[in-house]
Amino acid sequence: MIGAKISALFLVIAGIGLAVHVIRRSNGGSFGRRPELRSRWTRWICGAAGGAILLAFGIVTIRAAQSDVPEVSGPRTLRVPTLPPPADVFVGDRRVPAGRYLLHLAAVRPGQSSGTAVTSESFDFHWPSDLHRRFNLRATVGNVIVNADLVVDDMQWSASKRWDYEGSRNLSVKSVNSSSRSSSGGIVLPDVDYFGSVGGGKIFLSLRGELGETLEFLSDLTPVREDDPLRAGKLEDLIAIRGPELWRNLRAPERNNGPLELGEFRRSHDSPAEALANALDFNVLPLLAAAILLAQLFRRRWPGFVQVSAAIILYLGALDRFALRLTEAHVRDPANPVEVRVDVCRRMTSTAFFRETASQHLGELARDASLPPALRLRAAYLRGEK
Amino acid sequence: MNRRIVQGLLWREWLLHRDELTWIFSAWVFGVWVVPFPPPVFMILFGIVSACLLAPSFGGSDAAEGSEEFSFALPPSRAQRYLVRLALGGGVLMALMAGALLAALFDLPQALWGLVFESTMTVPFSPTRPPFVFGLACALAAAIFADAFAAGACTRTPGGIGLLWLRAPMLAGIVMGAGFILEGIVTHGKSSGILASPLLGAWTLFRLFQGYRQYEIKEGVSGLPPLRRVGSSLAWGIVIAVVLAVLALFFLVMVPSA
Repeated sequence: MIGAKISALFLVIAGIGLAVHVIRRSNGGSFGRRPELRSRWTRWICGAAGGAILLAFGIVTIRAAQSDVPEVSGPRTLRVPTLPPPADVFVGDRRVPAGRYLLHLAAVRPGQSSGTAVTSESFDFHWPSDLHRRFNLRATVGNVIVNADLVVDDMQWSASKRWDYEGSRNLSVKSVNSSSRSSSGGIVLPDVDYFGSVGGGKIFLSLRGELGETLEFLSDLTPVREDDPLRAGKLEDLIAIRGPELWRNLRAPERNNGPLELGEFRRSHDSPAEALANALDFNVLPLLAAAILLAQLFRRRWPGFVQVSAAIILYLGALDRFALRLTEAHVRDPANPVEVRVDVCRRMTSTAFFRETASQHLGELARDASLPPALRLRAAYLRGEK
Repeated sequence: MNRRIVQGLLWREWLLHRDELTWIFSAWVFGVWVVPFPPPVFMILFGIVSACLLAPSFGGSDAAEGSEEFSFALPPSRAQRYLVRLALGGGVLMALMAGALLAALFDLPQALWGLVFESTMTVPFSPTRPPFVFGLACALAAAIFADAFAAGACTRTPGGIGLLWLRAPMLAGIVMGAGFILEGIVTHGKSSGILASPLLGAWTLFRLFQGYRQYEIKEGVSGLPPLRRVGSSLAWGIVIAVVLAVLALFFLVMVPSA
């Protein structure tokens, strides 16, 4: 397949070269009819300016591909019980809340079920003294502040043999440019809710950008014995309290589509021009400026502009491929902490021109038994595997 | 037709209009192959702009220079001049429109970029509804070209081609509008352009034939053409600056909302 592509590409280039040669030979016009070259200074200045823009683009793109993951400043602890849960308390034949509970609040990456949460905390909840108390989870992820508030006002055992809660929860995301998203409503426990998209946005003069992600908000209230010393735990310990099946059912299936759904990508754009503009965003302007400047090197501006534009698109493709390789090397490097590798793995989905290759390589990561399970799960999710 | 005369006329027209043809060809390559725009939008805009540029220039170049009566004194006949200019100018325009249509129907630019890339540049064109918008785009370009070409060829003053870029689209628009209205009457409000395209085609043939008959009996235009400023670098610089400013405003509005 690759051999066929290379052969076809060679034929296309040869055909274009032959056509240009024949046109020039059949032109018949004397050199005197050709437009004059622009002054040397004009060509040098325009060439230097255009080349500087492209060089800056390359440097910023590669640096973005190698940059560290956003720092998280906030609690990342979870406590889980070490003893079996206490016996249920009854008044008559009706189950009533009593004693000690653990309120778990955690913000996790979509589909994450193991490892360290993005931010998490477990609170001691005592019935009924902690009713109406506001429990808060707050963290800074890069330049975004994630905040979750939860209040339990009452809990009652319902006829459907489950606890019904009265209370409120409020999730908000606020970025440094003051944009924010929030949602609020009643509470259900255990529950999976969603913050607004965290982070994301294009970087000036970079093909890659910061990837936004809709974090999941996991909340649960589990009974524990009064004398349980508790222990530090990871996300998989929290999941194990109720069982992975329950949490899997709570997660909305349509939200588990990995960002590399190729069919969705193709259907979401009307033309390559729209897809390219979407991929570049405001970086179209400096690239357009570079194309106009470099076109001044040609005797005829407009054909020169077309040639330079095609060359710039090929240059962007080469940058994209190189950045993808750098990211993958970062993910596979065993010297990096697992959490960092799991975070960086997502950057593989930000490729603009090589989504199939990224999907294929994520599939290889997901099937590589030598990699940590958290990384393999992450790769499978990003690829769109359920 | 005398083959040597036709070759000579073709060569003359090519040398005279080479820059315009180069510009239009470059725009076509850019919009169809390098950065494939949505085909209906590109074909309509490209067809209108190219027709407005090419037709007055091809049709009325001799008159605009004030040298037409001298040209008529040369061996090539009026009919030969008219047909050769029509073949080169109109032929190039229609060939480029046909090329754009083929590229749109078979996703050819995506196939070409697919040799190198896997996504973004290989996104297929979304289906065009209704599909004969393509026919309308070609017919509109042909109608504008035909009217401007015929009017330019038959102009009686050196400055007569000045406003053809405005008149031709207006007349073609009126014909197209009449087609839509007729269709609306026939189909009870469901206009889809299926009558407008043949109407534009008929208008094209009518104007070209009428222009041909008038040009055959035309007296040559002589006299000094109006003074024109030479040197368009400043104008192009202003145009580019305005386009960049509009794009910057567009993205400044888009980026915060995204």
